[in-house]
Amino acid sequence: MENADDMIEHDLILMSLVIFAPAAFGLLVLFFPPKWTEAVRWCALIGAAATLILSLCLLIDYHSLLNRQSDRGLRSMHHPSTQLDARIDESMRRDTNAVRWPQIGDDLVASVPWISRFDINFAIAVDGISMPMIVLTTLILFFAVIASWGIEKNVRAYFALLLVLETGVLGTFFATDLFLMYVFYEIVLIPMYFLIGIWGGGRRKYAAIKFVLYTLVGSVFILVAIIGLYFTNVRDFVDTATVDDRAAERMKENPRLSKESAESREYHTFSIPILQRAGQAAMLRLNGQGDRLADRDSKTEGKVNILGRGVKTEDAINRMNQPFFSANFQYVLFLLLFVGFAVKVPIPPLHSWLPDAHVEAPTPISMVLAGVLLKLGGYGIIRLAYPICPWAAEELSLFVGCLGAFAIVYGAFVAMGQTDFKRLLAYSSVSHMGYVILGFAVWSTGAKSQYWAWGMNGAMFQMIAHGITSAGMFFVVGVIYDRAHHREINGFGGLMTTMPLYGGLSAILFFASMGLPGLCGFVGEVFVVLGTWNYNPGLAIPAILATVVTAGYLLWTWQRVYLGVSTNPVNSTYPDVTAREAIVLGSFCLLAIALGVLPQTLVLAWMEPSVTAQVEALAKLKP
Amino acid sequence: MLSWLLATPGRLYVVATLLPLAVFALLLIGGGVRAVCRPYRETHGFARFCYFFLGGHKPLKSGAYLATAGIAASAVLAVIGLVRFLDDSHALSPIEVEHRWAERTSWAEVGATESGPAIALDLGYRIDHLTALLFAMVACVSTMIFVFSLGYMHDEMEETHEDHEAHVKRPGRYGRFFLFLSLFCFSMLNLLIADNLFQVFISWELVGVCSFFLIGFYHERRSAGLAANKAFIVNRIGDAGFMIGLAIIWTYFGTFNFQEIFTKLASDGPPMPAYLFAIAGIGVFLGCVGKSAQFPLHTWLPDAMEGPTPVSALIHAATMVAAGVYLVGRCYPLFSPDVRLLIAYTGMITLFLGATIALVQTDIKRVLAYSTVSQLGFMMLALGIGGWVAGLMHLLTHAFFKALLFLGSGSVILGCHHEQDLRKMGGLRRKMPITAFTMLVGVLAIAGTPFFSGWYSKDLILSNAMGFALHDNQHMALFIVPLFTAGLTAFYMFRLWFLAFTGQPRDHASEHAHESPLTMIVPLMILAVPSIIVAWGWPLWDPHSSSLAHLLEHAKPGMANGLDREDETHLAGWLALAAAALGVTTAVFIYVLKKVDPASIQAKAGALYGFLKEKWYFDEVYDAMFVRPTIALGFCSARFDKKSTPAAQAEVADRTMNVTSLDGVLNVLGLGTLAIGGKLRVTQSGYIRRYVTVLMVATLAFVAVFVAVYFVG
Amino acid sequence: MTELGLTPYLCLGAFLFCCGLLCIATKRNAIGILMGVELVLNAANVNFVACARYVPQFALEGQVFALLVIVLAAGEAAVALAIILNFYNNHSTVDVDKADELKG
Repeated sequence: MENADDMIEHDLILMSLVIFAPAAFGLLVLFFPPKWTEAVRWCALIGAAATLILSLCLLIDYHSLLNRQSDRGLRSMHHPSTQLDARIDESMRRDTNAVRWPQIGDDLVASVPWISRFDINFAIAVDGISMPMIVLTTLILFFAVIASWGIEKNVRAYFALLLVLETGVLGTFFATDLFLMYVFYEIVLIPMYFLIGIWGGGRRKYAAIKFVLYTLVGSVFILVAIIGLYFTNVRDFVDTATVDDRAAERMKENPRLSKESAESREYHTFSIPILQRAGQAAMLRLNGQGDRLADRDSKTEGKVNILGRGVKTEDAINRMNQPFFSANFQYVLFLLLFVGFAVKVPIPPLHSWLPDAHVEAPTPISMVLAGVLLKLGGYGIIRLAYPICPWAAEELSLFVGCLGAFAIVYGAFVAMGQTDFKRLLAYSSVSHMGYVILGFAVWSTGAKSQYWAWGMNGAMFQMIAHGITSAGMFFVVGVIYDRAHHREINGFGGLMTTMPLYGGLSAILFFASMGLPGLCGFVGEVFVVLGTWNYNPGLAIPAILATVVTAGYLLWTWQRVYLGVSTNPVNSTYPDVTAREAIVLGSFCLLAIALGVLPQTLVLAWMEPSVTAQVEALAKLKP
Repeated sequence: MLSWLLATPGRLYVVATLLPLAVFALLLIGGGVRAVCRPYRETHGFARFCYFFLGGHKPLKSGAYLATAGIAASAVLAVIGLVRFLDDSHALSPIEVEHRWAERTSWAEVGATESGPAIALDLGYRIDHLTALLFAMVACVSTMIFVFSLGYMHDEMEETHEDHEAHVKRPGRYGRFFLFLSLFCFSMLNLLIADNLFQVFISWELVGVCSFFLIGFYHERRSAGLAANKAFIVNRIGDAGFMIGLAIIWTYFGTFNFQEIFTKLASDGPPMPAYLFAIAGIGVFLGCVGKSAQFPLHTWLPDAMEGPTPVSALIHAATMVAAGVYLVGRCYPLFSPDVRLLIAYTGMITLFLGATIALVQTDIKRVLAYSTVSQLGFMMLALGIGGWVAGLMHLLTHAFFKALLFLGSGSVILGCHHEQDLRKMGGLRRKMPITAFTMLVGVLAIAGTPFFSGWYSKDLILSNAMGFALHDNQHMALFIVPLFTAGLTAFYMFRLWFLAFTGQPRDHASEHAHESPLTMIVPLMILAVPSIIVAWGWPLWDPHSSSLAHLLEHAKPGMANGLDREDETHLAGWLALAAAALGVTTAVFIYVLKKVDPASIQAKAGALYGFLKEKWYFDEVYDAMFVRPTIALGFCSARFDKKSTPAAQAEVADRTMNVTSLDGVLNVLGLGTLAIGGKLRVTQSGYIRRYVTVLMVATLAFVAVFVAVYFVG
Repeated sequence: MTELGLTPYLCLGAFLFCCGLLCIATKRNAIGILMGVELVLNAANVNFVACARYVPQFALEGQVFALLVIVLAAGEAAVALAIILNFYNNHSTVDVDKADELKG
């Protein structure tokens, strides 16, 4: 498999290209003469298309990585060595071995030191949790660029910001280093602020500031958590060799360092997998099962292999007197991470920024906002909050589940009371993202952990499905807004007759959003609901009944906008969708159908192993 | 491809199911391409070619022919499949049959862990006698209805069609009609061959959405849009119950496969607490209540008559609404005795309700719609009291004669230039003799005239009901009400026929009526045949020896054996016949001999008449109890979430504190910060001396505090 | 000659510092404030040098920082005088109370 001479890390190059290609194109368009607006658009389109293609290459790479280890059996794509944790561990071992082994060029894990004083690395990787988000991002951004063709104001700056935004989002999904992730997470904020604040509607400044303030509050929470994590000594979860290596390096750098501090072997890191291991150990300790800890190579049955090689279990347990391993610290940490990302999801009552931002943002930005940015929140919760603080997550899972169920019902009802088409969609996003939270929360262990796996996979799928349907739906509004210059639901009517193609394509998206079988919205919802009953019927029932309300408000909207005969004669003069619009709408429809019909082949096959492995890793902490 | 098909005979059914889907996809793509090319037809050569190749401005006729050919092919395959399956089931052992006529594949699998393999949601088919018979019925009836629609929807062929009800001109939508019909056929057939509940649920929702689009086919009419929404949302309520049932079954059985669930149930009993088992059963049944328009979710079906008549015939009479009954039959072991009783009573209420309302309706399609509700109630009742065969047999016979009746009404409506009011018809017998005669066959069948198909199934239901009631006297109502309703059925069906076809024309529409074209009459004549003979057996005069019943007997789930307490004395049958005869006689007295004037009865029983005419006020009550409160709750939550302000006042509103909404409360945090900042601003006086003094004093204070702490502490 | 020890130097430093601070706090003349700042800086310098002499760890650091402060003071004086001159050009006075454009 590995070639010792092969020193080039192809995966580093490919992954960095995916991250930075949009930003590079974004910078490029700034050098165009201001008059060349059409050229700027094409350049941005090429940039987005290139990123999309690169990310699809990456997807193929990841698929073949899984396939290489496939045992062609029941668990064909589930080989443990393909898991992110295992791959990063392997990569670290190669890095710090006395005789440095060359890095492998195709394990899709890469790390380059960035600020080595604080062990901050440009560490990126992909697995089944980040991969779907990455492809979704590149996809939505590609269509957003097409949808931006009508933007006339300051075209260069617009596309530059849009593409920089894409880099920020992609970086967040790629990063396996908390610090790096945070930096990218914050980078997203700035372009978004300008995109809403400059190209938005009437109250754009209000909306932009609101968006930034809410998100910043969330970010601050996350930052505090990150700092707290960094100050934890995680030496027991790293191979002893690595820790010694690090200590020797410190001694060499600073010969005047006192003997004790050099010998204390403190190890602080931003590396997400290592922190995840520490969090899992904390859960074992708090459940009084510290003796189940074992080092990575141990083969004993019933043990949890998260300690570094060469670490003795007793020593590790003795060293677990840091605050990190205490109940309160875990609670606080979880809440910080959860609330931080919940703002982005958004979970009521932290959702107030969303309707304003959506209503004021131009159509393509709404698409990106709903299709991609909300996923950052969900991704943060599944990637950080749950695995790093599993004990608190488990203790608070009912609370989280209730929030999810509440979001579903609340979002649906508030959406029903809207008269602005876009605002209605914003609240429907709140409702749909509630399924994501609910899916995460349905913690079950032992043989029942399969139901949690359904919930988690459903939540992940729901994020993808919502990305597609909501982006599509916002485009639907954009199309009619371009013609009518208003979004009042009651001001439309009879569009099905006036614009039959538009009506037909919208219908598919409406029903996809409603969760009709055969379309993408159904898969996520049904997985989550099937997983939820086992956890708590009291959460499943509201989630199920909310589908009636969802059908209610969407069909009511459908009736008011598309059916009947418009009282306003202007409505019957609108031209049907242009080819450009038809391509965007049609693509979203095709995606909605394809994902709804073939979820296994298209997504689950390569997404599910990572998600299920995470479920398995967390579920076995509490038998 | 061919070898794949021939590998297992069951794949015949897969092909028959997928054919309509293929047609749907073709029509969809064709229509989509045409619509995309439309704006560019003047400027781009290729777009022009595509546009006119796909029909140009006129609706494309060949699409409809393609769809009809598709479903006809399905019907042929279905009949071949039925014959081969009956052969096989005679000749082979059950295991071999299972092997040849069932297959499955996984659709999504999740959760492969070290401790166990993945659980999968499957797609699959399994053919048994019930599926084979229903499949053949659906495919054949659909074919007839497609052919009928070729003629009935002829108006939609026009380049610009004027909708007289909504007063708009629009392009004809001939192709779109067949597009949705094809999708519907696929979903319905898929529902029948499904070997697991999940697949049933998928098809369940798909038929629902087809029904939505077809009810709203004339979407310019406000009433059509409302009816479509109502149908979908009411069904969604049922489906929510279904979903709850699914979640429980999934959690405790870990599979949706019918055979696996039933095997587990038969060997170990329900693996869950009894109340949960009951809830699961009620949940699944709630789905059936929605789809089969049972009380209390029956209100959508009459409104669904807004759709074109062939749709009413296919979806809202023969097939989709029967899916609920089919599912109750299919999931029979899931229902505990209590739930079965609930099913029986639901059926009883529904059949009575439907029949009473049908008595006074004047719209020809609405009479038929309520009669459908009532007949579905008969089926549910039969299933509830253990008459598994009786219920499903009625489903089969009803499908034929109700499709016939609806198509006949379609023919009448077209003949009378879209007049649906029975009061304006009359004397059509001479103008449209074939329609009149075939409809009479249907009327006789539904009334339960001996030797017509309806007689066999209704007789079986009533004798079951009598057996059940005699065995358990407190449930006597379960026999009396259906018996009485059988009389009502005969009355209102004959009333319909007499009003429409006998006497003198009462309106110019019926005066200028004409017989429909051949494409519509031929299906009528063909459907009349099975309406008579489908349930025949030997001896012909013994309703209990129907061969259809014997075929269905094979598919009966094991636990249903012994539940049916058929009354062997034929007393129930004679009573039913008497009731029907009474009903017919009354109808003859009132509408043919005119001994009693209907207007005087109306005047005498004014309140009752109004009550029935207004459909027991269900719509009004639901509107007041559920619809309005839900919408009000929606608006209240919206107001609670955020106070909306007109754009002109937004600037001011953003700067004023407002704690009456969630958004306002959160904004107060921001505004409060702003206010505090404003207050603190005063301290920045700009005088260096003051800054330095503050600095000095503050430093001294800190030092003092530290010193104090240091020495005191 | 006996060593004086560190304390007197620190006292001198503290005295100078207080004088400088009082000067800054009470003067309205910009030049006066500048002189106050110089006093404060030199108070620090005294401390640095004294520490360099008496505390072994700071033998080098104390002297280096003292030099640094001297350079800094020179720079600061140049910049501050430039500001004062500009201020005088605009306001025809060096009274700092007149400089209240940045008032909140």
